[in-house]
Amino acid sequence: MSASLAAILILVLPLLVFLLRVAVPFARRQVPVLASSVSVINLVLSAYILYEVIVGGAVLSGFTWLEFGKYRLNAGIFLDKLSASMLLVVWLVAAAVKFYSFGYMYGDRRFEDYYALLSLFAFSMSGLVISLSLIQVFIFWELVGVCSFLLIGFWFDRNAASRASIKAFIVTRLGDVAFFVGLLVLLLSFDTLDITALGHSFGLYLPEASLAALLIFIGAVGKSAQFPLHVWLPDAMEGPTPVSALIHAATMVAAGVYLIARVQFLFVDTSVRGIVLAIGIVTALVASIIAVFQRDIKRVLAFSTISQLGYMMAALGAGAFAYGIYHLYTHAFFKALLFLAAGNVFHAVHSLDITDAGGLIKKLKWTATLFLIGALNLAGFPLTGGFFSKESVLYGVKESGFLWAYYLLIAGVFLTSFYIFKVFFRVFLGAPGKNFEEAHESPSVMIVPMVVLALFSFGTIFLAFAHPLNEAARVHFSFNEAIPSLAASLVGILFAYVTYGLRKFEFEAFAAHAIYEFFYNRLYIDEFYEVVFLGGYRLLAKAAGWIDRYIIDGAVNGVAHVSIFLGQMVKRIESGLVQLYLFYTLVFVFLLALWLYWLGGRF
Amino acid sequence: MVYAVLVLVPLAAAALIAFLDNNNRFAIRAVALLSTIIGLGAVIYLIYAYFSGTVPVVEVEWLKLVRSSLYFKPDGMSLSLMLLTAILGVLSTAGSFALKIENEKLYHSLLLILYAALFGVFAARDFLLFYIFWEATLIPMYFLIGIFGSENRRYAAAKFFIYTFLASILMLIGVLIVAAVSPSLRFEDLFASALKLSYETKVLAYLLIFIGFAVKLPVFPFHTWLPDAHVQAPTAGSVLLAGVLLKMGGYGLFEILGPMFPGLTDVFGPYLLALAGASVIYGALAAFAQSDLKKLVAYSSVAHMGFVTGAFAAYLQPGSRSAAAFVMWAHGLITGLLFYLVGLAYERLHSRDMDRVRHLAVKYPELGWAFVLGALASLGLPGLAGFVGEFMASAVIYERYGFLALIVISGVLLNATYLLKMLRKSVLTPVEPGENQPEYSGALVAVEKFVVWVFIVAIAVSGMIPSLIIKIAGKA
Repeated sequence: MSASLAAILILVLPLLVFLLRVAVPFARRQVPVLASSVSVINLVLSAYILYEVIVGGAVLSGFTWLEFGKYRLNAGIFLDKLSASMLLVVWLVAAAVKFYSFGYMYGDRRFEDYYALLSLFAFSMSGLVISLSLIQVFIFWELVGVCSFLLIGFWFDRNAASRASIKAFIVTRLGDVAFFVGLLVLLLSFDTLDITALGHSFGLYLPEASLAALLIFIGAVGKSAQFPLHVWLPDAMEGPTPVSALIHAATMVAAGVYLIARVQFLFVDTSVRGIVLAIGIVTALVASIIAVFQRDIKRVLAFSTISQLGYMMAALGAGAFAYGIYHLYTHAFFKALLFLAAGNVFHAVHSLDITDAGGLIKKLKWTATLFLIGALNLAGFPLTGGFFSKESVLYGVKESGFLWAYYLLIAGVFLTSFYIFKVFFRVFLGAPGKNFEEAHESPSVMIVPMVVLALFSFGTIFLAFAHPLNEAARVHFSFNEAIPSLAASLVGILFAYVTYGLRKFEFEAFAAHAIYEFFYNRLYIDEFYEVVFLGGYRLLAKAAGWIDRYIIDGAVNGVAHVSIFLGQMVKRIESGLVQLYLFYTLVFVFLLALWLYWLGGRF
Repeated sequence: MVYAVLVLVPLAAAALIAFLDNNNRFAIRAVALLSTIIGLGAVIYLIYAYFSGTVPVVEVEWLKLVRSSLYFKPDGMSLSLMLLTAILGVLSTAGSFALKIENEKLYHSLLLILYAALFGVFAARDFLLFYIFWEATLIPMYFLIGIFGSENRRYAAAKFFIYTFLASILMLIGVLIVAAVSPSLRFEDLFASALKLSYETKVLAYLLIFIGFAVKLPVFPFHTWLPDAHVQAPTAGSVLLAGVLLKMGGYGLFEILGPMFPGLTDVFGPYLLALAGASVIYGALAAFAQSDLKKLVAYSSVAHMGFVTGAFAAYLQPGSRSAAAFVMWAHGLITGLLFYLVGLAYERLHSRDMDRVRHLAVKYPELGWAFVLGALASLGLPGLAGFVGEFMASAVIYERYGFLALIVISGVLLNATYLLKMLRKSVLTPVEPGENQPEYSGALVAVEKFVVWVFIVAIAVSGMIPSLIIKIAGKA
């Protein structure tokens, strides 16, 4: 079997599962099992593709999808080390999430719909990853967006869920419009949207290329929840927890970072890269500060994702594309793990508020261990995958010469290890909290996929020495260089232990304080957007509706005196108007004939 | 011959129905459906002939006095719109079968007369012939709104009639200015003769003809007849009004005004673009302000047709015709579906108000999820038809006007706002306990499901394989 055939199967199989649910009513009950089997098959297929690509080199094949004017847009399959390894990560996380959901979602009214949507989600992300051209990336990019819209709003009966799903759609769509324009800029300047053709084209130093790069980056800012378009991601936790795991790890938010790496050749202009770096740093810091002040476990994790995506963006902005992608991969495993662990906690005590919980390590041994593994990865504890990838990112940023950025990111490491261990110590250690007595460990159908994720989070260590992207990108830092960030990380853990582990100094004691409120309420950015943009838009729309009714239509009815005319018409409408019309038409045709006849005589 | 089939078969069927007993619903429906299927077959035959290069051209001497002839010669854009007419014809006829209509005889006769006229509009290449068909679409539509419409139907019918009638008079005068120096009323001769006019005369003729088509499309600020007409029209009327009748405006721009005055179109381009942008932004904002589902979809048509006007502003760019043709094709199917769904919801809930039509995804799952798909298609989700048209139109507009194109492209974002608002209110949000709500009863019947599925498949297929349509519409 050739690699491209395998890639086609990877796309076709999950799509078939989705269509089965949509179009074949009697096959409904088979959907969850089929979806999970497909994810295992696809996992094997993507491993096979990665092997083929490493051994045999990149595979390209495509066809012309759309041709109009002088444009020719292609679609197809582009398998290289970057896309093949990303594909593997996507299906690993997707498979883990699908198996986990058998336990977590069992008994839901729309259990089958859920699996159909998960399949469509993974299908869309796979299509994005192996795209031959940027128009194809955009198509699947939007499909990924729509799938997360449908999954975030899966429990749409809850007002918060349907609000969050629409917020996610609109905010990311804002970035998508920039991406859309970026495509037009590229198409007009380079006459193609094929990724390889663009990469080899001359003129990548032209301002158009940088403009397109900037526009595509804005698209990534929306999708990858970078400041200031990050506001949709924390709300996205309204979806089922396994969906959050998927969105935060391997699909949706990963798409933005992946896209930038995919079109890294456009980012030759250092000023554009500087913008990417700056946005990444701001996002990484602001999000980790906010995360420190959150009480809901999933909310902490959401801001943690935003912050970690900021790290990846910073690496991309520093030109260390391979390191950014490396961090994307390790993060995918440990963040999925953390979310699923949070799901177990919710399963056990029906609350995600850390102040409600405590001492759960006695009841949830597996969950606590797995959460700890995720937390150590996130904090960059030595000999975890997260350690190597985070150090790579820091090294890349330092090497690029932006020392200020490097130090800011070190500060972020301290905050990161503090907020995640704050959660760990508060939830799993100390005195028992609410619902402690009834709490029990999740079934093995939920634990086993998490163990697999945990193993892979260690497995990513090997990527540090056999990097999938290229040989030059191999990690080459010494432990001496890792000392500052390691110190920051350990101090963070220690500080968390003193404050929350020993319950000496909990920030929640200051819950009424204005500063705490400010950070807890996410700097009031959401409220600001709500009032200024949403409010402004509503006002504009109201104005348009009013103008339409009273001014434009008023002019139609008034100035032309149509209203009076109509009034009379309406009274005898059955006969009046059409007779009048026929009369007019006859008169017109007569005049027309006369006039043309008269004119015709002059030829 | 084939043109006679297209125009005369529906007319003959309409006449036949007039002789049937109104209680013999089966016979009425059979005749109506059969003749629309014959129309569809004839259009498919024409497309086949077109690709093998043997599309029949008919030219029969007619009114020699005014140099007019019975001249039929459809081109690519004509054929794509005739196909749209034929498909929507079958669907809106079949889709009406489950409705409770008092006078079904008259209803189907009027629909058939409308099809006949529409086929004529798109096939004719002689201006008088074209104009007669153009005007002939007004009469059945007027009665469909005036007799089968809702509460305020008389006002809407009269407004629709007078508004578009006045516009077509302006169009007529504009073309007559050109016809005065033309040896015949065939389009080719009119286009060649337009060169002979002085600049001032050209501008005058241009503006008159433009207003004629702009009202039909409709272009801001000539759009206010549309929401009224839509809200009052019966379901099939709305489907055809949005699906095909509006396209007569875009067809006129690209097939008459553009080729007649290509240079002037370029000169007026920036103004046309401004009107396109105003249509998009204003249409979207006004749609957001609506609480009536039909009005919302009606204003969304104003916004979507802005892409056609925008492509027209870039008339000289290669690809602008294909772009506009695809936008019209996609909008015909998508808006046809949305109006049909609103009609289905109205049949069951007797309301079009978003505050009363609620929770469709649970109460009527097929209807609700079809709404979701229709709205996603309308907001330009790739993989469905709407996106391709928007992308093509944006590309040609950007090519001609650079970043000014953003005023039209903004529709990509703005269209999402009101469509998602509609989904949230009507499809997703449950009814609060204690709220006064209409009874939910009556699942979709087979024919309704069938019509919805055909719409969905057509939208998905033409979105995934756009070359099917572009090959027809873009062929010179």
